[in-house]
Amino acid sequence: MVELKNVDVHFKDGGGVDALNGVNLRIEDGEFVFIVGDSGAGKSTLLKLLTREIAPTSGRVFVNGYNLAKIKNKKIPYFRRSIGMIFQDFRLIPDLNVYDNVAFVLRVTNKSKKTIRHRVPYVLNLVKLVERAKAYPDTLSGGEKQRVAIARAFASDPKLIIADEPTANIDPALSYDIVKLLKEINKCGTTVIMVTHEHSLVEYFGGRIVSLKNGEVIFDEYVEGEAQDE
Amino acid sequence: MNNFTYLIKQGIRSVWKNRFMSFASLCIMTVSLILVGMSAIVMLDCGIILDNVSDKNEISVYLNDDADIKHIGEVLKSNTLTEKVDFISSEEGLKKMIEQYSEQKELFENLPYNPVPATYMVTINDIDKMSTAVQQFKAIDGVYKVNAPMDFASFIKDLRTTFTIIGIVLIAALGTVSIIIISNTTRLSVFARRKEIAIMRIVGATNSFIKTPFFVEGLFIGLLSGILSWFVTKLIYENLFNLFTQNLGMWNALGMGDILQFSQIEWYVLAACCAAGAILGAIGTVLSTGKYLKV
Ligand SMILES: Nc1ncnc2c1ncn2[C@@H]1O[C@H](COP(=O)(O)OP(=O)(O)O)[C@@H](O)[C@H]1O
Ligand SMILES: [Mg+2]
Repeated sequence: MVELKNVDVHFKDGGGVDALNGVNLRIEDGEFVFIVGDSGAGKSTLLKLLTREIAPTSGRVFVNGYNLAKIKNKKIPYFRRSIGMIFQDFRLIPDLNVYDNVAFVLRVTNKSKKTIRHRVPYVLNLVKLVERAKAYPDTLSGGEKQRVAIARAFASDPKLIIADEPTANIDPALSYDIVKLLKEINKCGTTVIMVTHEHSLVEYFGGRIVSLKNGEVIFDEYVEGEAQDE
Repeated sequence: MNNFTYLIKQGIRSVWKNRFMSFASLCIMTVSLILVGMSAIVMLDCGIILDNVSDKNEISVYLNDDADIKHIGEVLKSNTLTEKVDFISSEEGLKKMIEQYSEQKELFENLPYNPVPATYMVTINDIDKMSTAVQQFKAIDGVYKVNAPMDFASFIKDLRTTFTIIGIVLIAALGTVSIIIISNTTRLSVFARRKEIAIMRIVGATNSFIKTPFFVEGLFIGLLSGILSWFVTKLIYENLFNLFTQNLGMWNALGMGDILQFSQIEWYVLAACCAAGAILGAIGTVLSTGKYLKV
């Protein structure tokens, strides 16, 4: 579960910016939420709060049972293991192949070799990249890279997946596949929060839409999508 | 354990990825350790030579033919610096000399008069006071000449002081340089792996997990330069040793016969080089990761 209570985020540099003002938001386990808004509205700042890259200036943030306004530095890594992150620039490690990029997450969080041997092929199969397991990121298309990143985010079986404009650097036609993948993962019970500014995607898939403007939530409702609910 | 080998592998991988800097810091650390190690050994050797020379801290006091032998003996004995006094009459002295130069026996046997003066061999109790003793003995009435191994002793002493100073300066300077270069290596290594580190953070790797490979890297470079410097020191020292001991007779006379053979100390030197390398490597990395890997 994700909960923000009266959250303000103020950046001191650049003359001082109020990136978020009095944000209240509650997302239950298993939901799929689109967050939309213009550039500079505060979408990335909101996600950074949820991953504890930044702490709120005031207000409270709870994610997966952790109180992120108060969490100790030592506990942050363990908290982060309960979430998966996806970025618009993929952030794959260039000198590791697809398999190792996914396995990397499990290795650096002390998962057993046995777990790695089972889990990596499973998630690669889910994103339909089994046959590209030995390929290096440079040789992949944007869509494929993002599927590797999704596999990586899902590898540790997180309760929550957070995606910041995951389709921004991808062929528009392939964007739908990316969202479909995230929807599939959501059906397994994982909460998904996806930031986008592609209105076509939001209109197509529908669901809960949260809209930000100048650091405030101006819209938070369920919208019927054009797609049949698969 | 699986985790441990992973971290070690990552550390070695890091050395390889960053091989130019790793090599540079390896070279600089190795040279530093060689210089420090060599000065330490030379210091030890100077100590040994000084001990040997001290054993021979005998001053020869030659007397005039008409000197009051007995009185001079009393004066020498009563000196506070004196430990032991041995008298060698001119006849005994000549006999000794004939023994020493047995090949030219005839030369000595057919002398019209005995050229060897009566001599007191005075052992003094403090080698540092040798020059004072020499001054005092020279002043005694009836003393013809005073000979002391003083010059050599003071030369060795100066040498030891010089090497001690060089050693300390080297340790301070090269230690600092080594730490700086290692921490720079780590910094570049952190930079080269920044993407990986960012991802590790995102997926919840702990701080110590992120830092350990860099620590391994610093330790590895340190240990490797320890071993290398030991090997080079061994080569240099053994060659120098052979050079000296070829003229063993002469060096023996100067108290250098007993200087350390490398095999006597090689394990200590290896341990010291590796320990110094590892400590420098560890300090360098810890400084650097503390600075450039903040959470
Ligand atoms: N680290 C930062 N320091 C200062 N200002 C920042 C920082 N990050 C974001 N901002 C500012 O906060 C506002 C919201 O940014 P962001 O959340 O990135 O917007 P979005 O992702 O919706 O485009 C912007 O005005 C941006 O300039
Ligand atoms: Mg953004």
